[in-house]
Amino acid sequence: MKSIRFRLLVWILSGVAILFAVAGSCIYFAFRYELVSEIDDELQQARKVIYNVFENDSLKPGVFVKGGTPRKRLRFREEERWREFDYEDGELFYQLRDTGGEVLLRSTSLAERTIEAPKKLSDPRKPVSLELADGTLLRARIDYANSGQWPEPFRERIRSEESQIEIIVARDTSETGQTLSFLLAGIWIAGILAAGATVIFVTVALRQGLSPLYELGADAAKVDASRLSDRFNDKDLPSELRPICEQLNHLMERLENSFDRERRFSSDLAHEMRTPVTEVCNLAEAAVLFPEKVPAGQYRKILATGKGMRGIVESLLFLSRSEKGAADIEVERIDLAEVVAECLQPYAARAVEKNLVVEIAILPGNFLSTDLNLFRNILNNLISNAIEHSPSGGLVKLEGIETSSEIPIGLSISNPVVEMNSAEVDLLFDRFWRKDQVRSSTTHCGLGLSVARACAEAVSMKLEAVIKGSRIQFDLRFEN
Amino acid sequence: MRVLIVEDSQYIRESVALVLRESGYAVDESEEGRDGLWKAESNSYDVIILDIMLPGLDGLSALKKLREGGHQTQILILSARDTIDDRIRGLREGADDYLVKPFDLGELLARVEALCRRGYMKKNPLHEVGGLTINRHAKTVSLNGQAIEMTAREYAILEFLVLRQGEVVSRTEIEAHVYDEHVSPVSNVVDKSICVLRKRLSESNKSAPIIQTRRGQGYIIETESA
Repeated sequence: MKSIRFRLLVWILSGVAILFAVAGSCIYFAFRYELVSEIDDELQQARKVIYNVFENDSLKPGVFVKGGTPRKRLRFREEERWREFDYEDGELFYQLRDTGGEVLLRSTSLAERTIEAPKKLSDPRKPVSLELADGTLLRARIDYANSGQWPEPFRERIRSEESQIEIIVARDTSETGQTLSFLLAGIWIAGILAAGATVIFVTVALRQGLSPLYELGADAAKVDASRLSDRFNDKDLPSELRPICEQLNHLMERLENSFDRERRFSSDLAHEMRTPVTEVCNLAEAAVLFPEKVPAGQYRKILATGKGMRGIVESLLFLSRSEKGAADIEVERIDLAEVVAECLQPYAARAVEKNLVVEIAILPGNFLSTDLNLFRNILNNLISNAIEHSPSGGLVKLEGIETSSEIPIGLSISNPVVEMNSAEVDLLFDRFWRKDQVRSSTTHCGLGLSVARACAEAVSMKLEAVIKGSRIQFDLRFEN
Repeated sequence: MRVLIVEDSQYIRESVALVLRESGYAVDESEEGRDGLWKAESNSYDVIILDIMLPGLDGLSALKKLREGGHQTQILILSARDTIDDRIRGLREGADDYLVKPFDLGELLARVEALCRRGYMKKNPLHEVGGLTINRHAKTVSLNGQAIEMTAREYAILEFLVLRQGEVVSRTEIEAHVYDEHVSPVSNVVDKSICVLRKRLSESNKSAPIIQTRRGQGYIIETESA
């Protein structure tokens, strides 16, 4: 599942579970430590009490004689709490054994049970956990009479009878274990409940928190080709979503511009094709209806219109091929001045007719390495435009663009222009765009500059237009 | 019927004009918006065929000016603009019909005929006056069931008089609606044509002449009750 809600839920739930596990463990072990410490303190005190009992001569040395009778019980007169040693169901125990393992003395609470101490103790001063034969769990402190831990008078007495006595003071920890089990169960139940509550809370919180995202998605789903002018409202959005909203609005703007251009292209294409199609159909229909009335030149008109349509189709096919990078390119070394003069020739009569001055500023012997046919196509379109759109008596200028070492890197063509602004210059290379919205010209259909730019890109050149005062200048240069 | 074509495409204009002329219409042509508007304001046309994208003055502006000037001429827009919005705009500006390029010349002719009928509030292409029957669709004339041959110009004059049945129609009006701009206003082509028309009709009808002259006023085809 790839939903953000599910991912966040998994992460948050995992985090909560880890935190709860850590917290639960800390609580459990702290509580356990506290309980065990209390027991250990109690055992330490019990041990001291037993010392005192010995020191107060409440027990004679003779009682420790192996197999001797009677075996006296220790008497704890001072504090009521130590009487638990003497209850049959008491939870405090003591036991004295000789080195042979025979129990010399044990508390009433221990009954006939025997506490088996481990043979080796890592640290004799530390209490250990033991288990009686009947499964009763104990916490015990084990001492030895000659270990040096006993007070001097007591140690002397012991020595006189036995070389070493094992003395164990212990407490039943079953109740503590039960308490800890309850605590652990409580922690588990609380953890499960907390996890459930977290799932519910996080789900609701995420639903609430992500609602602006859903709303944004719903708004985006409403967008279609007819609503590209709509924009996403970022006023009520959370700050995290605003950058996304801004990017979406930029995307919408770009889409709207692209759609506008496509619509304009489709509309222009339809118009550019409708008129010549109508001409051909009407000329032919009139010739069929009234053959005797049709002038002799009717077929030439149909042919001229057909050629115009063929030109449009070929230009569009060329643009389509060049977009796919399928234009055939054959690079050769061409003389710039020679090609410019050759391309100008067909327009010389029209330039004279419009009383235009054509100025060429290209050094002879300058060579370019490019595809001759595509370069000619570019020049033909640029020169044709310059001659056609210059007002009468204007100056058309063709200049070589050179580096400091006089190496030609391109060509610039400029001519006077009437009423053209920068916004219109941006549209110059759009397919079928014409300054003349009436589209009455039959020699230009608005594809020339698109084709010229496509040709330039095909030979790794860049074609740009810029308005300089009352003139428009087209710069054609190699990109690198 | 007199028609003005305002269309910048020479080939379309010529083709439409040829077909209309051969169908008996008097046709004037214009290739530019301002010139078209001037002709429309200066002459009395039954139908104006108007392109939208015209040099000088666009068709919609010319249409608006004509309607603002009180001209009631039937106007058919002929355009490559084919969207619903374009059609709605054209019709709302005051056009009576809208035809998208490319179009069939036969359809254009039928629409021009329909507009002419609408202009004279006649929906039926068959008109009968006494024993005279003219079929405006087939461009035929018969008198008492007998077909009468006549030229397109003669038919146009008769059709115009029949459409204005009961009204006195002056020579100037006939010139304006039946002849194009190339006919000299001082010529007596109308009188000559009426004379020839009467002759053709009288050959098949021995009763009172169908077309009567009102001296100093013009010509009239009386209604049957009169």
